[in-house]
Amino acid sequence: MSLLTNAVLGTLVAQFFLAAAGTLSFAILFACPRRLLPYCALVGGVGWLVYELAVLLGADSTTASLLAVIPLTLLTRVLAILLKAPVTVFLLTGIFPLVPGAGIYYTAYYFIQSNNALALSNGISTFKIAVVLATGIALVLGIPLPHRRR
Amino acid sequence: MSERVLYPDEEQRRRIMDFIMAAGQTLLENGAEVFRVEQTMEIMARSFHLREFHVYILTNGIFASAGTAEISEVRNVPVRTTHLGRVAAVNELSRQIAAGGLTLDEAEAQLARAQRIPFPNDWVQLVAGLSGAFCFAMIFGGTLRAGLAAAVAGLAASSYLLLCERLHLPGGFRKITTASLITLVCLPLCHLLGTEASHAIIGTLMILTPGIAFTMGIRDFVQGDYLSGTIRMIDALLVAACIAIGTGFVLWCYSLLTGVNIA
Repeated sequence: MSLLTNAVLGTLVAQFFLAAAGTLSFAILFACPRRLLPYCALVGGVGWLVYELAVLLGADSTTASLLAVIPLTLLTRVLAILLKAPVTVFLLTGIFPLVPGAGIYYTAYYFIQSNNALALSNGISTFKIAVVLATGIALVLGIPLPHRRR
Repeated sequence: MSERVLYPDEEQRRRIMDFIMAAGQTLLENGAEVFRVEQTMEIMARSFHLREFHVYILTNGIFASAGTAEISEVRNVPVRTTHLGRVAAVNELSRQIAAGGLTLDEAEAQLARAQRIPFPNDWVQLVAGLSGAFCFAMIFGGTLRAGLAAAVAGLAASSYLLLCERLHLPGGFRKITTASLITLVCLPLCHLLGTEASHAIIGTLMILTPGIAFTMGIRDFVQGDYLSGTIRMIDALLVAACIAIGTGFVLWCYSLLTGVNIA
């Protein structure tokens, strides 16, 4: 645990709040119901925190994305049941920090600059992250719910 | 006709069908996933005793029939925005219908209410754009100054997007010009503040980038909705190309200008 010095902890906490605030902003832009806003922010913050932790422990961005999306989706399912809201509301907003927006942009940018090597490498890593995110979501959403009340 | 009957007559069947189609369209228009829309519509049909209900959904259209093709309806859903409040409201409605607590009249009224939930106020959207750009510039490793530049650009971009909404400008043009505007604001500001511009630009571009569309497109693939997935992916790629064209053009002009200045 020598990795977790005070400075590193400080950055992690800062990143958590930044990601939560960023998620909150986009949840507002997506017209999320007001009572669900803080939970959306929580989901975004948690996802990004796990991602940062994984990167800190030496994972590459693809592995870190997979490690982050699993607890994130679990959290969205728990929240969906507790708050009686669709999973989509939490998932669409909470995944925002993890989504490879910058990767798509770089791919298209290098493609247009005809820097084919960089376009291809960016494209492949973006595609990998998107596939990993989708797989993680599908895995967690595929876990059947225990039927209690029916 | 307000009670829920086990064997609805022809007119009722038509009303139920219209209601279910409208509910599905509301969900699809406001950002719900294809298989959720399908699921919700099927639950509603079962609850209202609409027999032989079959539905096929694409990212931009709904096809459904009921009662051995006695009724069939098609809805074109060309415009997609993201309004999660409406998605949550229709979801709540389907929950109540499945629980058996609502008549068709009440359900129709509640759906109409859900469709009219407004977007947040203009100034709320502006502040959200500002803080979103700031946070993502910092998350992508920018300094505090880069964050501030991104905040200014975010404010400019979201007010420009609101203006485009008023003027009904076409989507592609909107994306190219907004990306140009963001780059145009970030470059001189970051130069003034003495920090790297790339973090600020990418952070602000998060307002536009189709990361969600891309990931949801792959989710559609995983789910087995290959056609919907393809539509979303092509959409995402076109948006990314628009953004890159807008940003690339301004960056090219900038390097040309500064290059001339230095020489």
